[in-house]
Amino acid sequence: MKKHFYSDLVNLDTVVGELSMLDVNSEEKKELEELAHEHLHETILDAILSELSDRDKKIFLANLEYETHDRVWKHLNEKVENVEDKIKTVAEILKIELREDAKRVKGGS
Amino acid sequence: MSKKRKAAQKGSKHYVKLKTHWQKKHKELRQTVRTKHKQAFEWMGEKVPAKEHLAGAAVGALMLTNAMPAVSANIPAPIEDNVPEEQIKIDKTDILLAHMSAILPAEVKSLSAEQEGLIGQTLSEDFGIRVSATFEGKKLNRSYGFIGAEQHLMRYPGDIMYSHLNSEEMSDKYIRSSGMAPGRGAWGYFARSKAEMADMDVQREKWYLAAPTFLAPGFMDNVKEHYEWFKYRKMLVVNPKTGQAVVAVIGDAGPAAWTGKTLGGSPEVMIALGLHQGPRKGGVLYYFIDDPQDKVPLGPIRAGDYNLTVN
Repeated sequence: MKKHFYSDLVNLDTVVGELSMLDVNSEEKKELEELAHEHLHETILDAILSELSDRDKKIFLANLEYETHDRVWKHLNEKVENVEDKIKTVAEILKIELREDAKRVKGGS
Repeated sequence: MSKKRKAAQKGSKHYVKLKTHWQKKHKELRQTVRTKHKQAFEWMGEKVPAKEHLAGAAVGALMLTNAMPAVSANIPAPIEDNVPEEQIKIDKTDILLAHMSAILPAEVKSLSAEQEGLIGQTLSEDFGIRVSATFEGKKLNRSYGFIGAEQHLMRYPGDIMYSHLNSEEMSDKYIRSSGMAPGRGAWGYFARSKAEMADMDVQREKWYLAAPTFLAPGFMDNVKEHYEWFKYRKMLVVNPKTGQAVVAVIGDAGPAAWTGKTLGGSPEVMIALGLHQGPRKGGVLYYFIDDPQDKVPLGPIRAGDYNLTVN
């Protein structure tokens, strides 16, 4: 998986663990993992963008496109209070949701 | 039944059910995010050519309908491990332009203190050198304004165009036709005589700015101190429309306020900024460079050329 600026803060291990309980082959599991990561990425971007002014949204997106993770963090730490906690929180909520989805699929089989 | 759906149903039951659910969820979320932050994504779409999103960039996933594989377009060449951090060069013109477009007002005008500070910080990070609008308690009346073309300056008594330009410079029509100013610069000649002229003097005249030091806050309270401080003060000048930039020194006073210009540039400075054609005028940012060890030479500079802001 691509390393994102938040990759050291958040992982999807528990979701991946839940996928292991399903009747899926390794390729299917990998594909589901990728979908979960894409969903996480968009969820985190949405949470961050919602905290920023119009100008800082643009700076954040530009930094994300071109810059090092250090610079992304420097900008976010200056502009968003407790940004790490906010990222962790939305990620935890999403993880619960994704695990529930997987459990439901398993229960319904 | 769509091809997509048929393909999805080829897998196991758990896989098909979960994938279908997550794809739907993902599509809805993406739609919501794009709608919620529409202006920022549209701006990004305009600033970043679509092909650059193929480089596996983090925003790319959100900009494209489908996730794309990572390819090598526009990815900087790998950096050797043994290159000192200070010497690592990566062209950051794109990020500079994106930042300037996000921060700068639509018209060329005086910046607020907040804008000035934010731009100083951004330029420092993008160019990798420390710059600020206020330095050692001194500042010019503006840090964003129109620069206009100036003539060459006499470097020593008796300097004329024929002796001033080398054969290569003489062959450049713009450099040649700019002519020589009839008087000396505000700080006199750059050298006392041709024999005493050092390379530094040549470089200072070549890359000189005319700045309205007489309009600087506090100038009239202590003329001598300001006069000495501004002499050959090193500045970063940036054309925010193109990202072209130059390191230059203040070598003359001017232009007058009535001209509508807030800065003047030598013919070489104007070429470096890409403003030597047409009206020979354009909006530029100009910030003082904090370079006590004189590590940044005069002349054109590119965002990413230095890494001197690393603590």
